[in-house]
Amino acid sequence: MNKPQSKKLRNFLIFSLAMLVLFLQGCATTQPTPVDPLAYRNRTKTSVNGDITVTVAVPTISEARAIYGVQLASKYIQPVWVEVRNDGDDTYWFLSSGLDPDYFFPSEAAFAFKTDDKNFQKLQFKNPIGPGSTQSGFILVNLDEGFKAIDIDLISRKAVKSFSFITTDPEFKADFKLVNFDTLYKAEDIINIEDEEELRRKLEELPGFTTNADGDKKGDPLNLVLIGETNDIVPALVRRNWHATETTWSRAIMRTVKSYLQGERYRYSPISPLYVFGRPQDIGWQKARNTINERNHARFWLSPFRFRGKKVFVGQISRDIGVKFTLKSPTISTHVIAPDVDEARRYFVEDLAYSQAMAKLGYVKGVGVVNRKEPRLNLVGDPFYTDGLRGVLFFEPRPYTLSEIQILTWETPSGFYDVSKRE
Amino acid sequence: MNKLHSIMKNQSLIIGSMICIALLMNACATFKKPATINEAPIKERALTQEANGIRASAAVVGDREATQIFGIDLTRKKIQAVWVEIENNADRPVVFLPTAIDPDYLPPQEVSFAYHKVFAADENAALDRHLMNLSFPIRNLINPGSRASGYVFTNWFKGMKVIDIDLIGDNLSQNFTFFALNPDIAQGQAIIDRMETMFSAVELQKVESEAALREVLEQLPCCVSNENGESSAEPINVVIIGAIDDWTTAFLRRGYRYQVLNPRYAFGRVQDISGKKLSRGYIKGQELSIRFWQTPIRYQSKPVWVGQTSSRLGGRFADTAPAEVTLPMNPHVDEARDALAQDLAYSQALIKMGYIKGSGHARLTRKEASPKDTPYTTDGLRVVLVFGHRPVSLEDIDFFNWERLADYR
Repeated sequence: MNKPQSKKLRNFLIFSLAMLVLFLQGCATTQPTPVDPLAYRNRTKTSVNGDITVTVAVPTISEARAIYGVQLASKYIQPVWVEVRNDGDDTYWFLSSGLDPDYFFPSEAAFAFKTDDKNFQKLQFKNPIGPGSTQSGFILVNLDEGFKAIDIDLISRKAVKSFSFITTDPEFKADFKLVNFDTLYKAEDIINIEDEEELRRKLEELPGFTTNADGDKKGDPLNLVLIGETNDIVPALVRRNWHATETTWSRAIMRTVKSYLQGERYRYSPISPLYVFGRPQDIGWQKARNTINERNHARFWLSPFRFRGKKVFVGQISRDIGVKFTLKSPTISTHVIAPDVDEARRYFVEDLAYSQAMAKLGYVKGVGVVNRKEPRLNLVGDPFYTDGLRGVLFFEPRPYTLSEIQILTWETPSGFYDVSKRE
Repeated sequence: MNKLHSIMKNQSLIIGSMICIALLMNACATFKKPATINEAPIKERALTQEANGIRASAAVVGDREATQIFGIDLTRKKIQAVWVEIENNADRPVVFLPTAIDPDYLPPQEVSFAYHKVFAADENAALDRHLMNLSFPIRNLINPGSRASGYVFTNWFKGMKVIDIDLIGDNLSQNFTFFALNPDIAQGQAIIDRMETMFSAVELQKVESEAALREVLEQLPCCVSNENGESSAEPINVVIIGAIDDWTTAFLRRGYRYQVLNPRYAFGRVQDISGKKLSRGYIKGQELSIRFWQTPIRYQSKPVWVGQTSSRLGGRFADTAPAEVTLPMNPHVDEARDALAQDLAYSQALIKMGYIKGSGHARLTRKEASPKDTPYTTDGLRVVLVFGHRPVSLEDIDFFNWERLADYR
C-alpha cells in the first residue's frame, strides 16, 4: 500500500474518533481548592518486623502537587512516602529499585519541570538508616492510579527485611476501587479447608466458566486459582509489571481509543465485565506487550474458600492478539483473544514464578478438554480451546527463588491438542 | 439514544475503512509450506552445556535460514527464532521457561496470526500447524530420560545473542547461558575472541586476598578520557568481578541490552562492551548507560572489569538527539552508580558488594570536566560488584568491609 493513502485513511480515522471523543466528553471543569500538603500522613500504613518499623503513604495527585509545587502526575511521576525506624544494632539500607526498578532520580524529575532540583533532593528519602535512628522521605516512582502496591526491601550486613503494602487513592474516581476482600464474605459463608487433597476436590468443583450478567450464557474458562494473602499476591503481580484495570468505560474508553489509534501503551484501558458468583470480577489485571493490541488480560474473583487461613481466588486469563469492534461489549472495542487460552495460562504461571513470591504450583481439573477442532465460543464470539485444567498458584511472603518452588503432582497440562508434533 | 446512534455510525465508518485497509494489504502472496527444511547447519553450530544430568543446546536461527524453514519472512515483524534442545537425565521432570530468553517471546500461534491473510483460511491454518510443529513444546514436562527440541520465537536482536535457559522442577532450578552468534553477522565472534585473548597468561595479575584486591582496584585510573588520553572525563565508578556469563546475564535480567555507545577511552583503548537499560512495556527504562573494560586482574581466578555508568542530563525527560551526538551528562553521577548497584542486587546473581575509593574526589564540592565540559559532582567512590551463579537471593548478598557510603554523605 502506498504511504500517502494510508496516512489519509489514518487521519480520517483519527478525525472521526476525535469527534466521537469530543461528543462524549461532556463539559466538566474543576475548581482548584487548597490542599493540605501533609494530608497523606493521615493515611499511613505501618508494619513491624523485629527491630524495624516501616510506615508508608502515597500522596494523592493534588497533595503531591502541594508538596512538590509542580504537577508530578502530568509526567506520570508519583511520590511514595517512606519512614523507617531502626531499633536494632545494624545499619539498614532501603533499595529503591525494589519499589520501582525504573524510579526517577530527583534531578531527573526536577529537569522534567525545568526547576531547580534542590527541593527535590531535600524531599528525597536518604540512606542509610543507622542503629537507633529514623529516616523518612519520598521516592519518586512511576504513577499508578487507583491503588498502589508498595514493596519495601531493607538490607543490612546480616539480614534482609521485606514489607509489602497496598495503599488506595481516596481521590481516584469511583469507577475503580479495590474491593475490600476482608468484608466481601460474611464469616458464616466462609469454608475453611486444611487438607491439600480436599482443596484439590473443592477447586475442581468451582464454576467452570465465566458468564454474562444474567448468568445464562457461558464465556471464557476459569483457568487460574491464586491462594495467598492479598499483600503477597498483589505486589507479586505488580513486580512482574501487571496493572490493575478499570472495569467500566467512562474516561478509560476514550483513552483506549486514543492509544489504539496512536499505537501507544495506555496502561489503564478497561477490560469488560464477566461474571462469576453472580458478580463482575473483583479485580482485573493486564500486562501490556508491544502495543495495546497485544495484551494479557486476567480477571479474578474471591471465592468463599480459605486454605489454611489464606484467601482463594478463582480467575480467568486470556491473551489479546488484536482489536475488533463490537456492540456486544459496553466498551465498543473488544480484544480478539488468542484461541489457545492455555498459552496465556502457561505464560502467567511462568511469569509469576519469577515474582519471588510463588512458593507452590499445581494443576487441577477445570472445564474439561475443549478440542481444537471443535472450539467453544466466548461471550463475544471468539473461539477457544483448552486442556481444561486450572493452574493453582500458592503465594508466600518474599523471597522465594526459582529453586524453591514446589511442584504438586496433581494434573499435568498437555501440549497442543490434536496437533501431532511433526506431521 | 443519540449517543448510541453516533457510536454506531462511527463504528460502521471504522469497519468500512478497516476492510479497505485489509484488502489493500492482502495483495502479497499467501503461505506455502516449504517442501524441504534444512536444519542441519543450525544443529551443527548449536552450543551445548551439561550440568546435573541436564544437557542443553541452543543456536540463533539466521534470517535467511528462518525463511527457508518457516516459509515466512520473520524479519518483517522483527522476530528471531532460537533453536533449543533439552535432554533431561535428572531424577525429576523439568519445565522450560522461555521468559528467560526473552520476556516478550512470542508463542507460535501469535507469530502465525501476524502473518495471516484475509480470505486465506486454509493457508492460515497450514501456517499455524507448521509453526506449532516446529516450535519448542514449552507446555510439556520434560520427563527424566527424555529429550525435547524446537524453536522459540523472540524479538530480533542484532549480533551476538545471550541465550539464557531456565529450567524448573520440584524444588529445583537449572540455568545455562549461551553466547550464540547470528550466522548472518560475523562480527559477533570477533567480540568474543577478543575478550578471551585480550591478555596472555603472563600479563594476568592474580589477586587472592580482599586487602590486595582493594589495593589494586584503588590504583586503577580515576576516569575515562578522550582518544589522546589528555582530558579526563567521567569517573570509572563500577568494578565488576565475575565470569562474563554470570554478570552479563545479570544485567540482561534487569533489562540492560548490548548497545554501541560513543567511544570513551581507558587503558588506551575504547570500551570493550557497552550497554543501556531498556524500557519494559509502556514504562520507560531509567536512562542509564554503561561502558566496560576488561582488566588483566583476576580475583580468585574471576576476571575483573571496570565500568563507567552515567545518565544524561534530564534523563528520560531530556530532548532526543541522534546517537552520535553527546548530550550533557547528569551532574549527579552517583545517582546512576547507586541505581545500577541496587538494580543488580535484584538480578539473583550478585553475591558480594562494597565501595572503594576511586576517582579521589572525596567531597561533593569537587568538580571535574567531562568531554563536553559539563561539571559533575561525586563522592569519589566506586562500587564493587561480585557475581556468581544464579540463583542468589537478596538474603545471600555479602558485603566487603571497606568504605562506608554513609561517611561520604
